[in-house]
Amino acid sequence: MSLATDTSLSTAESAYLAGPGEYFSLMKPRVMSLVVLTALAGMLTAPGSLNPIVGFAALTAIAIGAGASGALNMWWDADIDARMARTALRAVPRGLIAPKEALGFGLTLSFLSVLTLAAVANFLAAALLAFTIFYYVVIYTIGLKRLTPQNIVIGGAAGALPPIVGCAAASGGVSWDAVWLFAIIFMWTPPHFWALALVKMRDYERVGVPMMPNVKGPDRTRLEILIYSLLLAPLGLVPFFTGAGGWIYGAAALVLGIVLCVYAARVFLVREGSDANRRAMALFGYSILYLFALFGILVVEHGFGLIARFGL
Amino acid sequence: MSGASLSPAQQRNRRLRNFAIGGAVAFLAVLFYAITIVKMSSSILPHAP
Repeated sequence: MSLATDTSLSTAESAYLAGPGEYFSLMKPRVMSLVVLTALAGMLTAPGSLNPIVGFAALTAIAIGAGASGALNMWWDADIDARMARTALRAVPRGLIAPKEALGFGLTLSFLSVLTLAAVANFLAAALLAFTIFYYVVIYTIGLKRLTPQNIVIGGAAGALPPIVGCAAASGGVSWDAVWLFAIIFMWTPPHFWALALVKMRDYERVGVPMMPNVKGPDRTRLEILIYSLLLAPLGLVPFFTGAGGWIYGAAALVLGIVLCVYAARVFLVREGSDANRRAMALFGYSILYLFALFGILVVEHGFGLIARFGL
Repeated sequence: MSGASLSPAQQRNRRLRNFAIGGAVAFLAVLFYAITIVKMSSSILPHAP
């Protein structure tokens, strides 16, 4: 690459010189934090014991794999990100990082994370992580996202896989507890994203992404949000009944699940005006809290040995 | 080779990127060293007298 000798570089050239913060933002740090938490829950609920250093290394690899998926997603979606208010300030649409740089960054991190997980844990976990990245990037981002309003339902499997990867990394296999954690995240994804899509439906419509509200309509979306929430609330209790979660988890899952259904019902009932949008955003925010709390409690219960020591 | 004239902000970004890459490589080196010790220990200890 030959750089011009003048003092002001073009956008493409200056993109090459983006700072580490911009590259880190490509990895979608907030999504990564949720992946780390859910994968850690999968690890801690797995049968057997795990060396903390190996666990830390495996968790790091899983986090980097999640970040790689985010970077590849931003590479592919740069065109629509630039035209949506919510995503227009991302590094690629702003011209801070060239799309091919995002692609190279994402692919490098993908290989690094999968190979690291294979080295520190086992091949099953590495294969599952590779499949998660493939599913999120190729099946969801490239395939489903612009094709069907069921995009985030089917694509949600990618976001739900980290507990299974974590379990595989810790035990070399996949336990039923990990499968239930997968199911909880899978069922959580539609009400979470559709609550946001209700508010941002014009944005999605403008860029041609067929989200549920702009294909089937807001009313149908509200109904489906309510149905998924009603299914999710009891599903959240399953780890308590299987013994993966203790009494604290069970009580929290019950209360949090009921509140989730109340939020979903409020979205279902109020359909007009700014109050409707406020309630949808309230559900969106609460759904994040819901998942963080459920998995956070699981981690605390297992991490501090509350279940083993006190039967909590 | 004629280099580009970079603005102070661009020079700063390049320096920060270099530090970040260096830090990441150092972190991975320490991590793999620690993992190697852990895996060697778990292989050796069962055979200890």
